[in-house]
Amino acid sequence: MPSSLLELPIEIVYRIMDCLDQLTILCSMRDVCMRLNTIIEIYNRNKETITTLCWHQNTIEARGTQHLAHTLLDDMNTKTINLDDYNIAPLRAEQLADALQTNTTLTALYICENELGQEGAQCLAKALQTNKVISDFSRIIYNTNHASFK
Amino acid sequence: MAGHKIKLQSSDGDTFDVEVEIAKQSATIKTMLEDLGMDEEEDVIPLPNVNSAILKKVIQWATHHKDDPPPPEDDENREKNTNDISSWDQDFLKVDQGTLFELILAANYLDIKGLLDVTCKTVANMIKGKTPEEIRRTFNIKNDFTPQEEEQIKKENEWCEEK
Repeated sequence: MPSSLLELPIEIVYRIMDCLDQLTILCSMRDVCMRLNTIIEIYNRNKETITTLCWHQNTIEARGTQHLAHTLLDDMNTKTINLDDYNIAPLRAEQLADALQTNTTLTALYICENELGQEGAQCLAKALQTNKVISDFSRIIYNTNHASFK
Repeated sequence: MAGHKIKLQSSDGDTFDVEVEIAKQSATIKTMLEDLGMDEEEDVIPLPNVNSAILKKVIQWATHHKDDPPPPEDDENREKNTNDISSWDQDFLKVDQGTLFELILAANYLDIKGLLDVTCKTVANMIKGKTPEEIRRTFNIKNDFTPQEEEQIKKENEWCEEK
């Protein structure tokens, strides 16, 4: 008889995860224990149909952004990420920029109404010079982040 | 036939008289009845994976939901809404975690989609909005990362703690 979540068959855990958004899976379930990390890794690998992450106006800020960076590094499925009004500060923008340089699947990043600042914006602009896949990005930043890209 | 009953036998030997239409919410039982022609009142359907306490709860749930329309098919591309649990189901599922997990297993074994959905959503709601440490406490999960892995996680978190 299962007395713990971890004793449930893996297909049941997947079914529970089907009721959770990607952000909850990454920010709440990840790093709980090794077994859950393994389950999440396989689950995400099998979810080839998930191609869009929409995290706009989200309240999980710092840790969420960190996991987003992980996602960009590891996830080969996500093609669009919406981070509108996500409270991305310059430091976090730098972390995202690092991840963007190696990600080869993302084609659109929506990031309006964040406080990137000049420094954060420049980091992202530099990352875009390396990342040739993202095509739908800069026009939004110009308008709403009060920073210029050079 | 309305009111026609069959007997369900739990793993610990207790038998329960259940209306066929209620029992047929279980796709497993429905298949047994149809494939094996077990529709006589004296026929006993053994359910070796479900104990009496859980079977009683399952029958209670199925009786309450006997007039529900069939649950919709799963859409694998869409996250399930967890805010649509009825107040009756919420009260019904105010049980200890062991019972909740056993209900999930029973719903899975008996193939009762509605019960499986609502129990999984209940667990999902217990996860939502929690930090990993809160999830460990909620589900009594041991942090089994090595000190090195723990250090690495902390290190990865350092930058984002800064404001």
